[in-house]
Amino acid sequence: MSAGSQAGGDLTLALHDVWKGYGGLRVLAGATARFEPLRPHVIMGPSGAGKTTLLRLLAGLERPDAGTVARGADVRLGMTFQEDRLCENLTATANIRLPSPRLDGELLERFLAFEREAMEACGLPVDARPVRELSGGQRRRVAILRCVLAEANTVLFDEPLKGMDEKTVEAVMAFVGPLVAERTVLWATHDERDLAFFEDPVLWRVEGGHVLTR
Amino acid sequence: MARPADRDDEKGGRLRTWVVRLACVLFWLAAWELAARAIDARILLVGPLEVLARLASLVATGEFWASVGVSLGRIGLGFLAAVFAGTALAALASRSTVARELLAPVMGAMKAVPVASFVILVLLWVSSRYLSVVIALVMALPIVYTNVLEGIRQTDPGLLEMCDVFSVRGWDRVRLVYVSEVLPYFRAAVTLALGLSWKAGIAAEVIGLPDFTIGEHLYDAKVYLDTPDLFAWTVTIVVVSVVLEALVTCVMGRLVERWEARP
Repeated sequence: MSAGSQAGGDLTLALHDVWKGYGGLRVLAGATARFEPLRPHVIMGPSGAGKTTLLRLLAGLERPDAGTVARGADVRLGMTFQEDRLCENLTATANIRLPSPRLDGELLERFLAFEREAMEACGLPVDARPVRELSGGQRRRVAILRCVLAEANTVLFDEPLKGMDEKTVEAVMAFVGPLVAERTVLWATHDERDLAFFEDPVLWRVEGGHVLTR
Repeated sequence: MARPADRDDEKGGRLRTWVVRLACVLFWLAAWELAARAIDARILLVGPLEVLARLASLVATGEFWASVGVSLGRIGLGFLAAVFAGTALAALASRSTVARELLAPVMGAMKAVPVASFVILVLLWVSSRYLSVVIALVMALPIVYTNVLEGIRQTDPGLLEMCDVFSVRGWDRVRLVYVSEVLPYFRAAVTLALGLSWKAGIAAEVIGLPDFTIGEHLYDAKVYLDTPDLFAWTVTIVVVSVVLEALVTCVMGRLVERWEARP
């Protein structure tokens, strides 16, 4: 059994001596890290340090220039991107349900009920409007709920609370916190206050092309 | 949310717009009637009242409805075939560069070649009965193809990355992401292509002269210098075109609304 293996299967998430750059800009230079499964990891660093690149590499959206990225066979990913990435012409509920397209019958009814509960808890209107008619803050919450309601055991968040007021953040995290408690969470932020949302998180810092534990 | 006073203003504004439009139409109808009376030569120009009377007598005949039905059926068949083929080819072209490059000159030619050339060429290949089917298809196909392909190509790559991460693949990706992104392009293409197909289809009938079609009646009106008939059939073509466009716009609007509003 490898270091990342758990009762839920192989949930390894790691990078070894990874180099990544864009044009002449070097972002990661020999970064090595292993993210312990089923724990929250808060990744900090100033804007442009490489947090997004790190998450994109782990999600398989980028290939490293050199080095290896390992993702366990049983990892099921969910992600909140820095941008909302919503289907503009669909409702909030249809967007949130998008990662679970094959639900029907009783399962679908149960999901829809839970979805409504989640939206109400996060202060989102449950109606037939396409998301293009929602405010920026509402759209952000839709993107977060799409991620946490997905059947994923590993969830990546890239500055998820950006642009939200404190009251909304409180409401969202009161709902989202327990939902992600038993999953591997990678939470990229430059706001130290986000640490308070997790119990005993592993703290990482992206700095000078390296990913370091603090 | 709009206040009642705003809604009243909006209603009043809409009513004013319609009154102005109606007044403009009435003005031109009056000008047309006056011009017809001034010229006083039925072979050159007939007034709207006479056209209306002729139309009323045509509408009372079975041949009128049969001709409208036959023209509508054949052109509609060609148009629907173009919608299906254009969408399928656009989907194929979005996946394969070879297909896209191969189709580019064909679609370009379909757009550039004059309808009359196509009509004469197609008459050599198929019976005049099927001429309007082929012409409607040829007119609508490049419009549907180009618009749908553009819609697929304009789909936000960020959404596709999101699908990759959440493992939304295959048909689910088409159904949930591409359809929602392409629908506005598809709607515009269908509305535009419908009008073009209808007019080109009728023009083809005038040249091919298949029995019991609007085009055949237009040709007869020309041969017998029956100007009231010519105007009456032209009004019919315009009315059918307007009704079709309104119907398709309404149906597509409802479909899109239902698609967008589903939970």
